[in-house]
Amino acid sequence: MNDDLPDHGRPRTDNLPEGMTALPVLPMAISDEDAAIELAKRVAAAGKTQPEDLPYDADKAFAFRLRVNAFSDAAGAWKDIKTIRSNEQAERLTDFLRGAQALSKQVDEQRMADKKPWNERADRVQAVYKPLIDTLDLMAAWMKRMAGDWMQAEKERKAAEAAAAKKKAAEEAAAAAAELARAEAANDAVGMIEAEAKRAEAANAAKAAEKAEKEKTKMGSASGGGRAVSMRTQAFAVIESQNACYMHFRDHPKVKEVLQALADEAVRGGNVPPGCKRDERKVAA
Amino acid sequence: MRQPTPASQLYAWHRATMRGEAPQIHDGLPECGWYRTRMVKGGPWVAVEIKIVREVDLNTGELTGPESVVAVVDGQKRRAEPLWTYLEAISREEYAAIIERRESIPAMAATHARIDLSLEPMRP
Repeated sequence: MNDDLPDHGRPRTDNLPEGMTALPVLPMAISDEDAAIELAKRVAAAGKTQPEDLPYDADKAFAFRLRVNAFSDAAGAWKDIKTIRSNEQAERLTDFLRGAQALSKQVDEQRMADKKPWNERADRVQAVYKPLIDTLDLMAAWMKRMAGDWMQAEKERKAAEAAAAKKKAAEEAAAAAAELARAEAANDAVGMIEAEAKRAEAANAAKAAEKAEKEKTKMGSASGGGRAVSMRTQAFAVIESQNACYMHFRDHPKVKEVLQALADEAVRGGNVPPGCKRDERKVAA
Repeated sequence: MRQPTPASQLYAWHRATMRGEAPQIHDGLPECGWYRTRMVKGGPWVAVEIKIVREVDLNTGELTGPESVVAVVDGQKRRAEPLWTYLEAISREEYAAIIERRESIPAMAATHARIDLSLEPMRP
């Protein structure tokens, strides 16, 4: 397009009068189509042009918010009077409570209705992935049992080997000591040197057996890509006297909670457990 | 020559109920007094008065016609017998309070509609 212009869209600087500098080049006029495209791009870059896709019914949520605000305001009026002074006030309070409960139920029903499609989608995702994870967890549990059995057997074997090696080393050390004593008695210098060497060898063998016994048993990776599997010591309690154990923990809050729950259940079922008595309290409902 | 039934007799059943004596209720035999009921389930309280309607000769003080029992419900006279077993006896003061309460609780004016307490909170 610029080729149609005399100066091809670029200002010439070789024909300016003295004292004048080249003026800046203005952008070329663009068509309406191009202008609309450019405007759309700029609007899109500035932010979203469509209303946000909300996961709930916005109109109903807003309507409920207004109603809940009205109830909050009325609750403030009730709190201002502090105590009920007449039967009529008490009856009005009943109506307020029932109204608030009914509204709460309606809000909860709307919540469940709005959430239902998302719950269904989440359930579908769970249905696809949960069985896979469960299968893998079950397989891992089986394999860990198998690995545990193997490592236990290995540990016992190594302990037996180490014990045998220690015994042998002790016997060799004793034999070397006897030989040394004999060589010393016979002034046999060569014999003494050999006996000393054998004693040193026996001591090294004993050390090696000791080290092998202490070594942790583990299963390495065949390919190198997997982390080794080793045995981990897990401590647990064996309750030998339930009474003594209870006496130790009886002041613990969790123990009191469990006892209270069990006693409440028994009393409501018509039985009063030992150490308890039945009592009643009135609550507004 | 028939004498009008005295008020003490007409309202004896209602007085006994208010005293907590629990007199018998006979279907089809309404007793004079002040009551409340609901016209629909979940509807507002409606004040009902059961009274005797009779014509008395002012000169002789005798009845000129039969005495009949009517129910006044929401300002309208109706037959008392169909309503009788649905009524709950209340004091005269409570009867007046229910009528007065309709001014402060507009929802009570719609006697045949369930009251939705969740729409407008009840204020003290």
